[in-house]
Amino acid sequence: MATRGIAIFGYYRSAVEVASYLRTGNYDLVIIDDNPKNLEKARSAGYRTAELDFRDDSELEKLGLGETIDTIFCLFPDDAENVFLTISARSLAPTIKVFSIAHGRGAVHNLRAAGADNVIETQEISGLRIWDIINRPIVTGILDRTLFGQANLNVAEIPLPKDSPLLGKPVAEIGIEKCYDLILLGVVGQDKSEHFIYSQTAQETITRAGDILVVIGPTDAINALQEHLTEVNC
Amino acid sequence: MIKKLIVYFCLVLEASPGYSRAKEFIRTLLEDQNSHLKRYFDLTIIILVLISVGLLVYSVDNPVAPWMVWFEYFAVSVFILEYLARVWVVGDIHRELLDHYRQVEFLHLPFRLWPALRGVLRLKWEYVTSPLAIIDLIAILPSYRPMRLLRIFLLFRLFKLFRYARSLHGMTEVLSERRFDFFTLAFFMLFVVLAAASAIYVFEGGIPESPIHNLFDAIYWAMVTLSTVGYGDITPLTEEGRVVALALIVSGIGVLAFTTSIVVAAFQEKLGELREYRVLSELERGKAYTVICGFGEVGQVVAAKLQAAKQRFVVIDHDEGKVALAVKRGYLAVTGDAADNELLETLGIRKRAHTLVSVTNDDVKNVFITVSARRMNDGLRIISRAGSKDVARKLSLAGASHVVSSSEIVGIIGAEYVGRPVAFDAIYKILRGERDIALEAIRVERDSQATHLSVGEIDFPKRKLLLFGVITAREWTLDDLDHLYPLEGEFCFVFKPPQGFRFEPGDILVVFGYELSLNNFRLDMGSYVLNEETV
Repeated sequence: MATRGIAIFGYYRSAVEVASYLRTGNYDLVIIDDNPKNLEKARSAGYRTAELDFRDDSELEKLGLGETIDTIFCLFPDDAENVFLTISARSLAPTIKVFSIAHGRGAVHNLRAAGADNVIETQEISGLRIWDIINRPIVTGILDRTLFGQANLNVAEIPLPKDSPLLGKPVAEIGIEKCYDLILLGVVGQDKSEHFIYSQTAQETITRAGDILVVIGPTDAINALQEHLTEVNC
Repeated sequence: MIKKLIVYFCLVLEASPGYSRAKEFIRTLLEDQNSHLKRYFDLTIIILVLISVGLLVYSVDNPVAPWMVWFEYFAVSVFILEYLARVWVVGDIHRELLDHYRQVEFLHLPFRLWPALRGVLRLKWEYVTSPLAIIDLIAILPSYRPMRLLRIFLLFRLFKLFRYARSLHGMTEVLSERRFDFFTLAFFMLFVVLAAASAIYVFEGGIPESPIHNLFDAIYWAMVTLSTVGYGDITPLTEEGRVVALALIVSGIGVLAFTTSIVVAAFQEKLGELREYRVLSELERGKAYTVICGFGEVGQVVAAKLQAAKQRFVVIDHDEGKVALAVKRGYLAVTGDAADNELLETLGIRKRAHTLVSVTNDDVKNVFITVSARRMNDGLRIISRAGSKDVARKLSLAGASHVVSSSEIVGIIGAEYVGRPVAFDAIYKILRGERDIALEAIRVERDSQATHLSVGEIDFPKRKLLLFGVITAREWTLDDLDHLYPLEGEFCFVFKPPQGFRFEPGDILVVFGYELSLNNFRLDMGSYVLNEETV
């Protein structure tokens, strides 16, 4: 698998975190900012950096948006800058994935309208997180420790290849739980609307090539399933 | 010699545990707002006051029975004892004396009584001259002198009720802060009344047809006119008298307007405090609650969620505008600095609150709030917001049970989004309740059907449920189970327990499923909705 190029715009608090989480993956990471001080910090943290003015389309083009870079993060503290960057990126490279943060409800709508694929409202997300801790500490704690934590338990997405024996089966009868130490949460269909089908109720839905299995399990079990996809038979 | 005797006496008092215990008891009885005893005591006094005033009114044109006289004696003795006790508990004379005595001994100076007593006596004098104490005294006095005029002061006992009703107390406090304004007003009124009374007396006192016979009549007329009551039993007859009346009417309107404005302004100013009073008394009854420090965006989200779940909470913010917003949304809210220990204490951090959410926009403040809250209450759940990783570490050190950092969440979500967008989106939406599937924790109760059943026997697929794992406190080793993840304490999480795994009481099942099937399962298992708060 070729390394994916990811550009992070604006090296502020959120970017520090995003970069540190992405650093462990197999990505070609570049930090972009127009503030030399921020870039200096990023450099000293060991990231590749580029100083350029995101307001200038020609400079963005030079970066290789849509070609070498397939995902950008707009993490400026100013919503207007994020919106501007999103629109520029979208117009230069229609297929690029744009992830942006917003500060305030209104900005979320603006960013979505500008074409961001995923918008996180920083304040709201903290509030919801606090609510989760208050409302259901047990479930939140378990997920933090397992799926989102360091423990060897992950949620993974596995696309079904064309020649998999799992194709053409009702989702409920895939039955990979029996052979692998996994639980199959559901399947995301790859038709027009990416809809999620819960594994325990999908009697009628037949799997098709390109559907994505959402599984939870230890890394080795996930890897095993991924390797055996074309010959799996349970 | 006498001095020595006094000092000796003080030493005896200090050494006596009974004396200090008795004094402490009386102090609790009279002054401790949180004591049950005080509540009963207050109620007793209120009843005594109401009965004794009732008897006074009754005795106006009814014969007085002997028991009434005895009751009056009884009530008055209680009032006298109460009055003396209140004076007694202000300051400790013997302690002051001894302190002074020891100082003097140490410095080899002659011991004199007066300087030692001055401080504590001044304290007592201040108490005796406070309005409430004066009312107490006046309520007792009429019993000694059966003067007709003084009897009316028995009604002052009603004013005693002020002491026992908290809200009334707040009201008098508000008004007494405007003392200066009221003094000015009273002075002005006195001047106008006396001037008008003497004028009318000079003009009409000598006229035989006039109803004004003496200065008292004149003052009475001036007061009635000034207050715009105007009975009309006394009216000026002469031109000059009418001119006086005109002037008096004009100033009367002024006085009324002035009085109204003072009262309104006083209450307007103290509106926040009065509301605080209400908030506090509301919090005092009912179940434990959450305290949210800071009503910014984050606080607002948390408050909205708590409100939707019908959980009790109170909001603190130093910004009047934000508090007004909270009040508008129907929340309990207090204006104030959450870093103020006193405020946290009055909001019941020590006892009544179960969770504190510190989400001000200032990291320094959040750390401070966390430290003080933890110091006040070891068992409190403290959720604190951090702006960066360094602060998160500090908050954990300060005693926060959970630290939430928006940039860290953005980091996790961002990384997940790049790595596995579809799977993460699916899980995230389930957790957010945006899908019809939920992930829930269900505890196996002692008498539940699930006890001793195995995973295979419960047949999760038939129930359209997906067992994620089990939280259990039993001792397992990695030999028994493949996927064991240790949690806090003796708990551990078993991912995808094998078919033969048997459930024991106390185990917590973590299950995916539709709300309907989850509810059904819970009913079948005889388990109530796991109240996670109690865990």
